[in-house]
Amino acid sequence: MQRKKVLLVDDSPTVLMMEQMLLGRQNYEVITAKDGEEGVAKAHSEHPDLILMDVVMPRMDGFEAVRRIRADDSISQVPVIMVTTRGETVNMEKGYTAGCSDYVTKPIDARELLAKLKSYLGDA
Amino acid sequence: MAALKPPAAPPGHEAMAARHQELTSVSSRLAEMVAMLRQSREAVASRHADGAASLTPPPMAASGLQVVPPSAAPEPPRAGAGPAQAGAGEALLQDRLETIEQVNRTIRDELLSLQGQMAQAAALYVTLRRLHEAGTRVEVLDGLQESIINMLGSEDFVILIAGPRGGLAAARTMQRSSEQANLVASDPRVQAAIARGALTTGAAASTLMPGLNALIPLVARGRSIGAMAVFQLLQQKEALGAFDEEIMGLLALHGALAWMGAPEKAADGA
Repeated sequence: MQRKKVLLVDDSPTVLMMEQMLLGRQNYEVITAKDGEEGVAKAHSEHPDLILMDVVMPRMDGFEAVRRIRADDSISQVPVIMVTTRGETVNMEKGYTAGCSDYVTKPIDARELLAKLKSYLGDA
Repeated sequence: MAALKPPAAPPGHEAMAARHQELTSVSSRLAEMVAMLRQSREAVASRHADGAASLTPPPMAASGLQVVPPSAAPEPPRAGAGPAQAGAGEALLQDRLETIEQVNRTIRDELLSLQGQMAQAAALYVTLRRLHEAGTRVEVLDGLQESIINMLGSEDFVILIAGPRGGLAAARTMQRSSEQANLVASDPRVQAAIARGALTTGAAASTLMPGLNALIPLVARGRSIGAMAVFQLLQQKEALGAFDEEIMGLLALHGALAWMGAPEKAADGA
């Protein structure tokens, strides 16, 4: 069975490394991008099954990256889970308005993250 | 900043991952068995209601699992049995269903616990690796900053580094002005706690300075090179727990070691 592909977009090497370790062990194929611009480009070229997107990043933030993904018919259906430090409602609303499917907060709770991935992708 | 390489597994992680896969597989097979038993039970109930007690034993063997030993319970009634036997068959299936669901719950709990342990091992490993692969002191500070945000869960902190003459100065701050950071650096109680070299958290930390959640001295080889003062935690982070203390212990020692091992030249830029 083909492995599900997950695109991780975050400017923090610590977060990317952590997410790679968690997801790689769950038999997902993992690709990474360091900011929103690279994230949109990789979403287009790699066609991931799901994207984990940080909010605050250089060059292009997560909200704008999600807007661009939703505006591109070839990748507009891919689920995007935002990863944010701020759990306030206003921040979540901004994410949902931009088109994100769901969100998790930092510090990342591995069980919450894996449960959400499973609900969007099924078993790894 | 050093290029990000795919992380290798920390020691013990492979075994945990293998156990995790095994439990996931068993859990999913048990879920299938529960579904099959439910179907059988519904079929029994339906036949019982119709007065035709034609029963099929649950397909336990198909799953390859032996949750209930065959000798532990009588077989369900065969085709042609009366309503009383059909009732007994239904009770037997119900009993098996409950047993399997209990086993599945236990396995799911173990699976969740294992996922938590794997995540903690990964967090400790990533923290260490980020610090020790730093090529400059600026990168050591980057690693400490990212660990405070992403591992401890705070965006309100000051990282203090001792100067060549011993005085403390703020090398990194987040959500604190330079005046506020200087107040932390010059506070005599904070300085005394850093000199003691012991981690201070919770109520003890807030007695040093209002709002302070943790003071983490950076100490290695008997030498203190500074400290991290962590103030407000992120909204969704309720408090610092036992695992956070492990992370702070690692940051205290390995942050200091990484700083000492990084080139002096970059310290000017920090």
